Amino acid sequence: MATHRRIDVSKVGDVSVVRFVDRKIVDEAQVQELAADLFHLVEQDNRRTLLLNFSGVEFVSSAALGKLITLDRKVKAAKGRMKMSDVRPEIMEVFEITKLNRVFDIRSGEAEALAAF
Amino acid sequence: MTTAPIRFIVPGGGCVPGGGSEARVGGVKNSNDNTRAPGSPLPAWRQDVRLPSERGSSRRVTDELLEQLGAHGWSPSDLFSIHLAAEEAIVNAIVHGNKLDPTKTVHVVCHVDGEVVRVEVTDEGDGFDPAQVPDCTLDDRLEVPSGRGVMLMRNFMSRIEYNAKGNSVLMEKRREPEPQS
Repeated sequence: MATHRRIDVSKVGDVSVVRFVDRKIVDEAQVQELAADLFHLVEQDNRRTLLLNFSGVEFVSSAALGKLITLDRKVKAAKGRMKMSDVRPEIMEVFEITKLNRVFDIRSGEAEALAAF
Repeated sequence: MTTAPIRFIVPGGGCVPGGGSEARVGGVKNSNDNTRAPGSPLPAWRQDVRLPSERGSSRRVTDELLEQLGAHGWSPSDLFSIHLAAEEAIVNAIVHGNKLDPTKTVHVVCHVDGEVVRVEVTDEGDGFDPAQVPDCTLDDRLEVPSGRGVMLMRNFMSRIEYNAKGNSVLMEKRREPEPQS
């Protein structure tokens, strides 16, 4: 079991629920570490069903968006499924402006997202 | 490199600060001048700083910018918008403009009062033509992991404007009226 630096991971049934350690995901080093943690889940730990719970996350930069897109592609390539929940309105606006709300499956809360798998 | 005329992406009022002639290499000029915005108890805040072309150096500006925005009564939602736009502009200048060249700096000028915020970011690169940045929302580009910074800057600020060379961007946000309940 890997030790993650930027995320906490718990299991709910078959779903790996990912929470973010940082309130603001900005710095390049931080984004790189986060990406390494997330990619490790899929590529080394073989997690195929991911829920990214954004509660507590107040800020994401476009660099972080890029990593989420890459993660989504990795999950899809592994024939897995990924959903997101608890995205605050400002970050939801970022997803809407960039139309990433069409790429990501974003649910309002964790329970709704878990029920949708 | 394509040079392009100055373009107003979103037309708006307000004066445009100068192109950086007041820059002080390696130093920070941080002042409160005597002009007070209507309704704001605080004098306007201005910062003039040159950042090294290294990842993470944007925090030297954004931390205090956020503090000043809060002090001048800007909402948490505005803080998010302005933080995001400033972050994206500075990272673009460091990474794409100066290409992380340690001999080059990024010049940032901020102005905050109760009514308007301006952030001007200038790099020492060759510039770019923002009209040539591909639209990241097109279906065949939706899953490309980069190229969203400029779109976010445009959407979260009242207006953004590039100089002709394309190595300097001026972003402005005006306070919107409180929604009537």
